[in-house]
Amino acid sequence: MSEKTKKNIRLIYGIALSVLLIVTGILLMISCVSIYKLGARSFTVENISAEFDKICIPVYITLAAVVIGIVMQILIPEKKGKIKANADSKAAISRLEKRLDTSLCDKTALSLISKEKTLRVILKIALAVVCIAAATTALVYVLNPASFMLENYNECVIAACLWVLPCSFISIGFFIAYLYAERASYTRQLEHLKVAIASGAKKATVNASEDNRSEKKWQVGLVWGIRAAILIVAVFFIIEGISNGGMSDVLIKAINICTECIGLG
Amino acid sequence: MKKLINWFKNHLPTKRKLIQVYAALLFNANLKGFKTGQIYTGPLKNICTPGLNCYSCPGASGACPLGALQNSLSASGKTAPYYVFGIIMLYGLLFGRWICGFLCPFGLIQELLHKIPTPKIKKGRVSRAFSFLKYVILVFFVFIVPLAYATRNFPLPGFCKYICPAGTLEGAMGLLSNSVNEGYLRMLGPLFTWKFLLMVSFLVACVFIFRFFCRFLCPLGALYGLFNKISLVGVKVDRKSCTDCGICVNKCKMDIKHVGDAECINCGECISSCPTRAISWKGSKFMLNTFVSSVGCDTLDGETKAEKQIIIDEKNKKISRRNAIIKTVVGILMVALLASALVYYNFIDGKKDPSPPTTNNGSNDTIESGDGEGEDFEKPPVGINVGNTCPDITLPLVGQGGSFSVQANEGKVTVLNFWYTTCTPCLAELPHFYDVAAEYSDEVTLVATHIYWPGLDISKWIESSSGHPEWNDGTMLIAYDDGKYCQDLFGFLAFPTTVVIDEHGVITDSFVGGLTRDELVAAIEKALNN
Repeated sequence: MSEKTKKNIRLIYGIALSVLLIVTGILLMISCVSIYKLGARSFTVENISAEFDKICIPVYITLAAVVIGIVMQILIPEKKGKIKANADSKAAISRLEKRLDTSLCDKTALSLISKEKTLRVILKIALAVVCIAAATTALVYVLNPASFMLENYNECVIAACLWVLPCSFISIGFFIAYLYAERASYTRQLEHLKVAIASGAKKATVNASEDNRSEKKWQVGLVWGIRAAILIVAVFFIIEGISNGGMSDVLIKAINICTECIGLG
Repeated sequence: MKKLINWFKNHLPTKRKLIQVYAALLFNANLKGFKTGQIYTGPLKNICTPGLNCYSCPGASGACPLGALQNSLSASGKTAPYYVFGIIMLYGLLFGRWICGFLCPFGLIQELLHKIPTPKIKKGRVSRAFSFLKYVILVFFVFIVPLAYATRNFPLPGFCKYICPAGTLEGAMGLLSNSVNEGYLRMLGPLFTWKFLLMVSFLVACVFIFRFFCRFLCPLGALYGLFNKISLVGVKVDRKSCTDCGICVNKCKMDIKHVGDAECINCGECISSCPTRAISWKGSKFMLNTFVSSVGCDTLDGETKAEKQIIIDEKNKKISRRNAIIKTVVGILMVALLASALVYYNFIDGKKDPSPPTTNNGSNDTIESGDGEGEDFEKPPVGINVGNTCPDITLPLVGQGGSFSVQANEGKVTVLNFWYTTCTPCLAELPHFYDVAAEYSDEVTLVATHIYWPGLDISKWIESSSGHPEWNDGTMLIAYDDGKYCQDLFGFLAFPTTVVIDEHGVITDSFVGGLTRDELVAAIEKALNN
């Protein structure tokens, strides 16, 4: 069997298994919702058994398909491809910029590089503005005590979610756009940089003392300082927590099942 | 056959997988819990385990740090949550997100699901952007919701209640899968349906997307990620040797920008892929000595080269021996720890397994025979099941002083409710109980009994401005279970729990989970007409 045929078999089986898994998942969810819709206290052994009987065949088929899939992996093993290098444009720019001689190279390329830098700053500012605006909108709602009333607390939390999540998704949406724009900008800048260097560059000198990539002593010291400070605070907190009864509160909570907290109801 | 052997050779579990299985077993060492359907209630449960492992899972040997954090924040009016913060900081400092990669049982479940051979959705800029969603979940569900309700003396662990799939899978499903807990089925409703849908969606998503929950939603991972750069265990990059080729980032299935950033779970799979060997374990030079290289020997002349090579070989042998000794000692210690944990949880601690109440009329738990006292009504045997005569329980009353005795209350219906201050459904149902107690004050005595909780002043809690001062007016009796009747006699571990006893002292109903006003009234009417 050729490698292409094997690949195709794996792909077709994988797609079929995916469909089966998704269908099974949906069926499980529909069953749960149907039992719930039967009315209060409808989750009985009889109802659950009756619903499961309806979906047992696809569930068993899916389980069998998963097992067959694992066996197929043994019989038709997948060849792992070599991981390609994907040079980070940003890192490449920082390396190449060391060779850039502004007095010698092409001025047009330099101005284009400068434009890209400005564009990224504008993008960053725009993203920050959107994120701050979204966060402020969400915080204004959630920091208002009236948003979390004791009566109908579930509804209050859902309402807060409906306020917070859209704000988050707007920020995330902008962030995705920013990431694509930033990547494109770095790629363009790299091209301009190459043109600029081709027109005139100084010899690359990598001196250990000048290499700002290696960790400096003070940086190592700072990290150890932060570690020591966190350790001291953590130990103090634990001791304080044991003495103020926080530890026994954890025990009481852990040995008693709060039915709502685990989703029982 | 050869193919099969080769496949097994190539697919032998990695050290990381073995550690993940080991950790999952260690944090769920109470294996007997799966058989009995009961959770571990011993003293070691005050220790938080590092990974996401629900403490209501029958096998759980410790507390979940995220659940403990939310509950501490919910109760922050009572005690400052120093203990949980300290524990999380300590774990973060020591391990960072190495915990996610090696110790988290839910991480292991997600990775196993991802092994199912289906086409996978690869990471990209979209997934990287969505990885920030877990910080929103952390801030909103773990901090804001519990703190907002803590100011009203109402505990609400937002993440546990509305999202946590580990709680649903390990806690709820773990308990429901045992027939002993059949009584829990009656409380399933909208919340369970929502959490079940969420759990199934997450599990299906994990098949296609590597560590779906971990990458986009887990607030514990978000917390540990903050410590990733300073953690003592994890991977590090030697910036001098790194050529920024991006192979490590390409190989990684998490949404990392650089190895060791907040998204990196320190699985170490990038170490072998690095062409310049710039990635290594933090502190590896202290733990396992690296081998001495023979680079440079080629330039030496014949005799000197041979001598130098001998010295290098000897040094490497010594290092190899030392590494083997370290590995053996660590291995033995780990096995010994697991063995002791399994023995301790399953055979030494918590020998007494309280059996939960059932709604049948079985007489297995009969304590002693009841006496008829010459009445027409012949009392059933004393026991804790529905249909049994309730054993005599005397509970000290909070606020008004004195005590309440079940036997002394015969002639009236008794509703015995067990609750505690940080239980969300308990506090949600008690206002209904208060109203019903006022309505049926002539026929029914309603006793809201706070479970055994050393150091808690319930009276003070009730009187506090944000509590329920009206509960102290005697309409509904507030008692304190100092005799641990709730756990030791009845065997209740899930709350709230309500026992309805008729005028003859016979248990007519027993409920686990919150009751609505109508359900309580129906149970009282049933007892009155019994």
